Amino acid sequence: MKRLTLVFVLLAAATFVIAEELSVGAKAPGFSLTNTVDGKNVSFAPGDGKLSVVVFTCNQCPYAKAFEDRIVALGRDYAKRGVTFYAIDSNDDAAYSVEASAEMKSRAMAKNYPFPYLKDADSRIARAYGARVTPHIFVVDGKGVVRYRGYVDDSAKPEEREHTGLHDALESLLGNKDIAVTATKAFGCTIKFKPAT
Amino acid sequence: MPLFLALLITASSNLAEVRSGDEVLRAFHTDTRIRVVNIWATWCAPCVAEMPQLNSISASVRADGVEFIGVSLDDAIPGDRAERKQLVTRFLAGKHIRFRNVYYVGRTNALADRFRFDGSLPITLVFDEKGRELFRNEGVIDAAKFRRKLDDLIKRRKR
Repeated sequence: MKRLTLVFVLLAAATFVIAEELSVGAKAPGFSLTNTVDGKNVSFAPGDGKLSVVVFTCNQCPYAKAFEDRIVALGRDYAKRGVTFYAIDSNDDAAYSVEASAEMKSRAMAKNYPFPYLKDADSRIARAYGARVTPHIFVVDGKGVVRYRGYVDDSAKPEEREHTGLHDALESLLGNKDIAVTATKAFGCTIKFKPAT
Repeated sequence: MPLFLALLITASSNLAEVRSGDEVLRAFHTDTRIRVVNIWATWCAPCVAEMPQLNSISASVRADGVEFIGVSLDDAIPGDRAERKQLVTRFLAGKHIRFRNVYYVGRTNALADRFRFDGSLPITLVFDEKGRELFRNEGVIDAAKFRRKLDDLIKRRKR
């Protein structure tokens, strides 16, 4: 009985463990999630040869909203240069209905997202990346390795930016140069993880 | 001017602006021995949720030389500063928050660097009177646990 209790305690503890944020140099986890815009599955297979940007974002967070237009512009500009963006909402839509697929679709349509807006319904992908906040960025190279992680820019106010982290990382990678700053602190709203079952 | 508007403006102007983590630490009364800094924003749902608990803990330990200061990061988001300050002031008044709050207008990353946190809110840091960190709570506090830790510190510092 004691052993059984211990198993339950350990399982309960594991439920609340949030993975460490993926390090630069780590292998990025792949995923297959539903694109809320058209209901189709979108798969990311790290190592597919493409430079990719995984953006953890959401509908309700004012901090994420402050970056939304910039992420859309970056997504549009860099798509022309072969970079694939994946926007993921990992918030628990049972607790926050504004994060439901239908709301995500409305947002993506209204803002004309140039990339899929994917629902991470059980927050598993956020856990796999160790994403903490929205927005939280991971740039993955063609070999599937994380090359940059952290913020889009160092300020939510465009006029106060001193470091455009995501832009600089993409420019460096596309120019076959070293990225000057590979890891930054992503500020934002905490991801509302769906309780693990 | 209607009285409520006058009161609102007065309250708003009481929300002092700070530009750095060091300014936050300097804002404490000199006779407080344990200094609690809670970093939050009205746009941070978990921060808002824990505010009443922080409020009641701060009231219960004030006589023991523990002072709380809340640091609002509402200014991190684009918008009119005066309006945002009023929003924070109204929020604090509406929740009957009694501990002092300041309004951070510096760079968010500079604050994260100064207090060595990763950008997730809320975070609550506890310092001694010399500004040495005693402990920290990342994320929402567990009120009972946080209170016990403060009590331990109070006891230790009375010896």
